[in-house]
Amino acid sequence: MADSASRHLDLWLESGLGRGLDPVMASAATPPVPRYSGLHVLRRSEPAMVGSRGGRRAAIAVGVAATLAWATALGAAASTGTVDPAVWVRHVTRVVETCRTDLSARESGVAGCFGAITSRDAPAGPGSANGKKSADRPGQNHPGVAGNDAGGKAVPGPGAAGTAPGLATAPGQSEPPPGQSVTAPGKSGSAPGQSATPPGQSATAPGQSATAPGHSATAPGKSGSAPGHDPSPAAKPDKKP
Amino acid sequence: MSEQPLDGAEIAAPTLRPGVREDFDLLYRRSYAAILATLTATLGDRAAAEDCTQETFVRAFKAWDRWRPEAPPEAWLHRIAINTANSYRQRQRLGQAGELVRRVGHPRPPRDPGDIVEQNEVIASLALLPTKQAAALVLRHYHGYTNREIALALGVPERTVASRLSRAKERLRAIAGGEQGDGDEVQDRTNWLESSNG
Repeated sequence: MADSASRHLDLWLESGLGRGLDPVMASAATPPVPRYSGLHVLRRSEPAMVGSRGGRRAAIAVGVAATLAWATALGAAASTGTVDPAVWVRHVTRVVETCRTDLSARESGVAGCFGAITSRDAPAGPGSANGKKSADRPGQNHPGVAGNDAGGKAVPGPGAAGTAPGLATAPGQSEPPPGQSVTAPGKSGSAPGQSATPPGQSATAPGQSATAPGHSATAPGKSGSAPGHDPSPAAKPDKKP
Repeated sequence: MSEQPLDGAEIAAPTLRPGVREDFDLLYRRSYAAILATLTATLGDRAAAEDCTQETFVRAFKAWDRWRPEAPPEAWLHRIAINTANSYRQRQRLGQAGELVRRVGHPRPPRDPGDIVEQNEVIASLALLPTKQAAALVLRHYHGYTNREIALALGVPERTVASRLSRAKERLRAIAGGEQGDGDEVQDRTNWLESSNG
């Protein structure tokens, strides 16, 4: 009895569903344009560039790289006065050659020399005082200034003592701009204008140091400068051992 | 029963690759009618069924990248479709409650005959059942799914499918028997069934 009722219900269901849904199936044999057609599906191998953490990181990296490139180009253009990258390359080559010439007897120091020259070549202004900043800061052990650090007290004298050899003016460029003196104030007797000594006349030129290596005030290992590059004979320490 | 029963193995051919647009288009063309039929029987409203069918494929398309080829895609689509229909009914119920509040003291406007496309008594009765029960009946008695396939489509154990089918038939029988009486009485009974089953 129950089985018969259940069977009857099943038949009623199936016939009713067939009558009601077969026309629906027939009419939907050709489906309409799907609503998802305007969407984009992401494949597993496809990197998600937008909205994901990795995408944001990539965008930040690209932004930083673009900013650095732009800043470099701007600085180079300001330093050389042209936007031609070939001129920038020639300028850099020239500066490096100048530094090598000046520092021929040194083991290192080209970087400081390069930075000083490029900052000096840049237009004078509040933001162009990189050379001043590095030269004026006491205890930086900048070549040429380090001897004074070791001696504690430098005796001012002619010959622009304390002038960093790496910061010596390039030939044809007699003076650094005002405010960009490469001489550490208080550590040498030279006025800012006197520090611009051509390499040939510099007291710090290699091989022209009046201080014998054995009498150098700079203790080996305590200074970034070599013993043969003491600023001047006048830069001898007050107190001799 | 449908003359073209679902053949999951045919659709689950290895040519269907997750995340591949062309394969999803193929699945859409193959499955659209079946999903529309299920939703039409479940909702009792052709326009709503078409809307929910499109919504189903939008949801499936967004998840196509995560589809596992081990499961028949039709069952997967039916699962999404039933959830979509459930959401639609919930929204519809909320809308009806709001409309009831607005119509307090006013006579009920006559229902647009176009809203109910299917005048079939079975489909009209199925629309009064809870969504998952109605879907189980359609999958079993129209698409020809086995209990195991229905369990796969609904994401429930087979025993749950069997008990759900049994309860659905009991209620359908009660509804069909009540149709002989007053229409409001049937509606009240259906409301009680809806509220008791969630």
